[in-house]
Formats: sequence, structure tokens, C-alpha cells
Amino acid sequence: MTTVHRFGTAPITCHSWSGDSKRVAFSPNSKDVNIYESTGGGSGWNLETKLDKHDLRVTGIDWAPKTNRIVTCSSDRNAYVWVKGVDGNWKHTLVVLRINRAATCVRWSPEENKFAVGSGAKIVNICYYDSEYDWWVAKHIKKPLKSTVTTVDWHPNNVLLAVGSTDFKVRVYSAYIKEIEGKPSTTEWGAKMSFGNMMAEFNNSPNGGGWVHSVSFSADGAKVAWVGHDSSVNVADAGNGMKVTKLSLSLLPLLSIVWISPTSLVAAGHNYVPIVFNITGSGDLVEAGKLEETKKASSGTTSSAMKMFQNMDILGQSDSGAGTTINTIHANQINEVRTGGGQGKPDWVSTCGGDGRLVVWNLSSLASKMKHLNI
Amino acid sequence: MAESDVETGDIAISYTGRSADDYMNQVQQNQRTFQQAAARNATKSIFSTLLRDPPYSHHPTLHPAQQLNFKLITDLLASIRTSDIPDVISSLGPEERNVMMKYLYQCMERPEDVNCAFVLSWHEKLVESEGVGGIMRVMTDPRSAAL
Repeated sequence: MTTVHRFGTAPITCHSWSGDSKRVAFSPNSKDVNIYESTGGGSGWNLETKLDKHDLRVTGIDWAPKTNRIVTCSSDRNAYVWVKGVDGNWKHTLVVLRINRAATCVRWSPEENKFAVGSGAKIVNICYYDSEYDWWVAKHIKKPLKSTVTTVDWHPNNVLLAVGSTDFKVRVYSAYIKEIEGKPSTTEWGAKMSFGNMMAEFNNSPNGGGWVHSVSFSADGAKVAWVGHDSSVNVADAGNGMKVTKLSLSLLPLLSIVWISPTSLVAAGHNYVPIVFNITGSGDLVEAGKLEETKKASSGTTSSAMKMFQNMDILGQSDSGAGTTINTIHANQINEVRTGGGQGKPDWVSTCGGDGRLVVWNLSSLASKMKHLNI
Repeated sequence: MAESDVETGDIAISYTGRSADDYMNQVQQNQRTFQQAAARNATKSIFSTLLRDPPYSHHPTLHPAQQLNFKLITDLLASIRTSDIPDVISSLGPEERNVMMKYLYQCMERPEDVNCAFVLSWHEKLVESEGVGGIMRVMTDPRSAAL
């Protein structure tokens, strides 16, 4: 149902699973990337390797499932591509990004022949492998990014890229590299797909406001969803005239969002628990429940009275401590949500948080257990 | 960024494009509405009108209208009994509640101009309805500082 994996006390800033979901690579808020191998079912883990090449905090990790390559990016303005050699060691290759600020996020494209890196230099790097010189070439997308790029996500056609930024906008760009791929066919996003061409631009809110924390293309590529710091979830539909649906929440802002079906999303962030959102038939976004039941703080009458006076004395509170105990699996904000398993429709989502926990949520068993959840 | 550092010609007059005189007329009209409603003890009904289209602006020519509007909204909020506050809030739409939340935080910025007790009562009830997300929306909206 939900499996909780604890990897020490350091926050896990980013994580990515191997193609077979037996290994996970994550960074414990440091310059290292740890790769753990699961020891058969349950929650046993072996530390397989430490990828220790970055000088500063690792900000993004992505593990390509088919080609088994890992790309990592860091505040040290570099990205490395790691390939596992026949001797089992991970060999690194530096990718020269030519940026003068930290790299913030990285994602392999669906066909894994290129990857995108967002950075604080107001630039998105699209990197592809040049076999003639045996190095990774980085091309820049600059216009009209006005501030730090916080999140990137690829369209299934391997060419379009959604970019979220702290200039409060989400943009869809073409990252077509003519050296390595054929001309893409027209999509709902437009026909002209020269490199760096902006296909669409969406404002998180009309008067600016709310950094975009995470952006995600739906499996068919027609919709792009994002979460903003103004506690909102938004979906833009290219198949419906670029219509944007916004749901303003009464919760704290969410930090990461993924699609789990053509009409469902899972997002998580500062509220410590992943939340499911559904798109109704009429195109509206609705909250469809949390992936965890809200537990009420248990209070027997005797313990409650004593606890109340204790709290009044020690903490200066007048309730029985219900406000300060954390009743959720995650005890700190959830930094990243990833999907896994299943063909086309993911079986599970994994979340990593500021409490050093990695939790795997099995969607089908949660849906059957919690009847209020509509997935 | 001090006001004197910026050429006022560079800042838009208002977010909506309406002129300073236009907003002043609106505020004065709202003042009359408030006075009539206060005389009849019926200020509960005029919230939607008074919270609609506030004079958002960073331009100095709108300051007089903004000052008057601030005084007007605080008088309006203070005129409601604590027990009636939830009713008023539930009668408002999301945009109006957002404007009210912005004014509450403006009140908190100027404690010398305002009686703080009603600010906290209104804030508590508004957060019950809008949640912390409502507060986030005020904090992330650049217009919140433009009242």
C-alpha cells in the first residue's frame, strides 16, 4: 500500500528510479548522489554507490530507464552524465553548460537521446551527444525567459518542452535538434518547431504572482499541468484552444505534480501529503482526496486533561497538543513526486521529502481502500 | 526602491488603466453608499459593492483615493458585529474575499491607523473559510502592496 523507506535524517532533495525500479538514486541535500539497491521486496536497501563528482548541492537527478544512464545537475553550474561500465562502476562525463548560475532541474527526453537542464541563468540547456567528438553539446534556449527556470518536462514527441520559471510563467518551447532527429509532425501546440521557438506561454496569474514550482505534460501531450506558489493547480489544454483551468486551494503551496491518468493528477508539497486532482467531464479541476487518511489526534479523556495542563505549563498551549503533533507519513514538505510501474498508466507514485523519507504509494490498493478517493 | 528614485512616468497609473479621477469618484460614491447603509444599520449588504475593483496602483496620483478607500473599508469592517462576520464572509465571492484579505494585511501594516481587535476577528474567520491558501494568494500577489 504505502511503503516508507528511511534514509537517515537529511532531507532528500531529488530522486529517480532505475528502469526496473530496483534501484533508486537520490541526493540527501548534499553534493552526493546515493544509489541504493533494494534487497528483494520489503524495505531493505543496500548502498550500491555514491556518485561524488559535484562540488555543490545536487539539484536534479534523472535516470533514463531504457539506456540506463543517469544525468545529474548541481548548483556548481555543471551537469554530469553517468554511464555504468561493464565492471559495474559508474563513469562520468562532464557536460559543459556554459551557464553562470546554478542548474536547477534536469530531465531526459522520452527517447533518451537528449536532456534539458533548467538554470538560474534564465537559460534552458538542451544537451545531445555528438559522437564525432565524443562529447555532449549544449544548446541554449533564452528568449523570453526573464528569471530562474525551476522545472522542465518533455512532451511525448521528444521535441516539445514545458518550462516553468520564477517569472510566474509556464512556456512550451520546441527543443528540436536537427542533428539527431527527423522533423516532428504537427501537434496541438503548433506547426513551427524550429529550435527555441516558443509555442505557447501561460501566466500563472494575470497580474503575475506565484513562482511555478513544477510542470508536467499529460501522457498524450495535449495538456500541461503546473503548480504555483499561490497555492494553485493549473491545467492548460492545447486541444481546447489553450484554455487554462485554475483551481485555487485552501492549502499550503504544492511543489511537485505528475499525471497518473488522462484525467487525474497527483501533487504534493508543503502540506506533507500527496493530493489527487481530477478533471471532470466539463473540464473543471476538482480536489479528489488525499493519498492518506487524515488521522485525528487520539485523545482519551484522562490523558487529554493531563496533557492539556502539561501543555499549558510547558508549551503555553491550551489544547491537548493536537496542533503540534504530525499525523502524516511525511514529517516535512514533500520535495518531489515521481511515477513508476505500469505501461501508460503508473501503478505507484513515490515521494521524497525534507524528513529524509522516500515513500512509495501504491495507487490501486489506495484507491480500493479509501473509497472517497476517485482515481 | 524609494518613491523619489523612480520616474513616475514609468509606472502605470493603475492596474486596470482607469484614471486617478475615476477611482476618486468611485471611492467617494462608495463613501456615500456606506454612510446611507450605516444610517440604516445595514452595512452587511454593501460589502460586494465596496470590495469590488479597489484602486490598485503604485502611482502617487492614486494615493488620495487609496487613503480614502482604506479608511472606508476599515470603517465598514469595524461596523459589523463579531457574530455577523461569518455570514458576511459566506455571502462574498472568492475575488471579494481575496480583496478583503489584502485589506486585512494592510491594516496589520498600519496598526496606528486601525483598531486591531476587529482585524484579528475578521482574519480568523476569513482563514476558516479560505485556508492558508488564501493567505498565500495575498502574499504572492504584487497588487497586495498596491492598495
